[in-house]
Amino acid sequence: MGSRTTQLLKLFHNKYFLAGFLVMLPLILMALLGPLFVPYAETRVGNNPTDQQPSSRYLLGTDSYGRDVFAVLVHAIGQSFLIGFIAGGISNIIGLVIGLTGAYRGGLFGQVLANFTLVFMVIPTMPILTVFAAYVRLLTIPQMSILIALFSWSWSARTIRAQTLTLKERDFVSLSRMSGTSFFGIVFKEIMPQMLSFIVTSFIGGIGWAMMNEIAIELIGLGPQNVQTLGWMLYWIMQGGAMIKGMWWWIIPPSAVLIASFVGLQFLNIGLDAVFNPRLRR
Amino acid sequence: MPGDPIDSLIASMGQFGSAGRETAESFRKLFGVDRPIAEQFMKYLERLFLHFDLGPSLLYYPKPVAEIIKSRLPWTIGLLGITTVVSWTIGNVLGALVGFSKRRKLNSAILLVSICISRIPYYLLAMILVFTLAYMIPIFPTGHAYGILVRVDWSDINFIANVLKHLVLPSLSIILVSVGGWMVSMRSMLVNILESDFIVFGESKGIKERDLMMEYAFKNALLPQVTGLAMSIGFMMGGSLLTEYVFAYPGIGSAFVEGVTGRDYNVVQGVFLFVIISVLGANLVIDLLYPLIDPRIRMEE
Repeated sequence: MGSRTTQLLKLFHNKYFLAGFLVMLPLILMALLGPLFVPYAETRVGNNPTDQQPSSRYLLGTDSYGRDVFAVLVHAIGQSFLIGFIAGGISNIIGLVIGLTGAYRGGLFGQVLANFTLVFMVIPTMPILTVFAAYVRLLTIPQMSILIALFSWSWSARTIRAQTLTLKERDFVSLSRMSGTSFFGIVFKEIMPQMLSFIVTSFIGGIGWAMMNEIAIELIGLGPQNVQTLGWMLYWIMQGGAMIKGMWWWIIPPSAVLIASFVGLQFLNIGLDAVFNPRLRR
Repeated sequence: MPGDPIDSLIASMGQFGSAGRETAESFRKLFGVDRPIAEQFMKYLERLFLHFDLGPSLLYYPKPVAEIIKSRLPWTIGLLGITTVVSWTIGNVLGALVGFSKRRKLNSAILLVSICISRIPYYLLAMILVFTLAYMIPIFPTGHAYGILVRVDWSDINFIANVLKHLVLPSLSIILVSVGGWMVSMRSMLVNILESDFIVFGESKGIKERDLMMEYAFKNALLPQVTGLAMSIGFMMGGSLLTEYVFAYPGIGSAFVEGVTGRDYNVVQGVFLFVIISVLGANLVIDLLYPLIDPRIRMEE
């Protein structure tokens, strides 16, 4: 256990990981604690005067629909992160199962799974997600996350597959096979722990990817209704013509938060890679 | 409000005077949406496979979906073609420069910046570009493919200039985001190749460094990038969908979004089918052409 703590500490000595952590921490704190302090009523349409510039009363001004931009932002961050988190998690579990079992079992079964993965890598995600969201229309946040996950597991499956292919020839795997460990025992208890760092990296990447898709779907007015998310903020910015009206206080906050989270997640991954896979040298 | 297409059609007709119950009923009959879903679907498949007919658009009735795709397609091909070629070329050249250069500090700074930019979603960058380069510093138009007051005439140099001016921001948003990815993969490919035995051997044999870099390393690193091009087509298609939406660019992407918001299911299905088939087709073509550029694949056969 001691070595694990030192490894975690080593992560914080890496400047990329530290930078990513310092960017993500305030955002996550804001998402978790912000809603406790900022009343949800401020995010309702028509609650405030419209098009107000930032002031002491409205920290980030109000939008063209009379919502307090700061309040909407605080409530939106958490929901968007939540979708990213659930979808990233589910897609990684799918990718893990398909990548691990396919690569370890090999043969026809492995071939089929490998080609299946390849097909999902090639087909365009966005149009498919849009069509699904358009036909279903009323989505909840968990449904939306599952939908995104179903079409984003292929990259993690491929990474895991490549890792498994190299790991399965190692001695410790043959040893446990000879000592009679079951298929699932070998795959999930012997091989999987060896690539924990890959799983974490691919999970973090998955969060970003899922958020990107989520926001894209909401930008065209689909996805979960009656919730505050960063995607809906962008949607209303487009609908309200904020860019042409020059309402910088409405545009900059969600854009800055989004860029910060995407770049922050990337920095976390660069740091993780540098510490756990020093040979990879990105 | 899962959508009844006729309701939204009637709603949009409402602005030209009252459209009543009977109108809605006759439209339902006309489009066959009063039939059960399974029957409608069979009918759609029959029309599609026997007559290659994607059906009429509901919003622009009686315009066929195929015609909408045909009129919108050139804009998408133009946008995607230019951005793919430009970003692939710039990315590979920059990646090669970074891979060959020995200034490590500068290289990792360039890599880091481009990775960060490539993490920003297309549509967000598009919105930021509209705000900065079309509103704050109004150099470029905020959207559309050409000015409203401009007469469409492809032999007129002014019209072409106008089209190009409208093309700048949409392409820029896609290029900025995709250059980074090409650059990073090109560079890591080169780093791997430069360590391999045949390069070390070539070096000790006394092959000129320039030849070694271009003929031995760069060419080899370029091959996987061609496969990457095939892989990225689907992603580019998805990206252009939103870029077109943000810029109100009249390609098939915005036709798709209009279809989604207007519940024009025939257009949505038609465009979707078209996109999927063309992405898979493009992948097939690249797969088939690959042996021409990589002799090793030919040997294996």
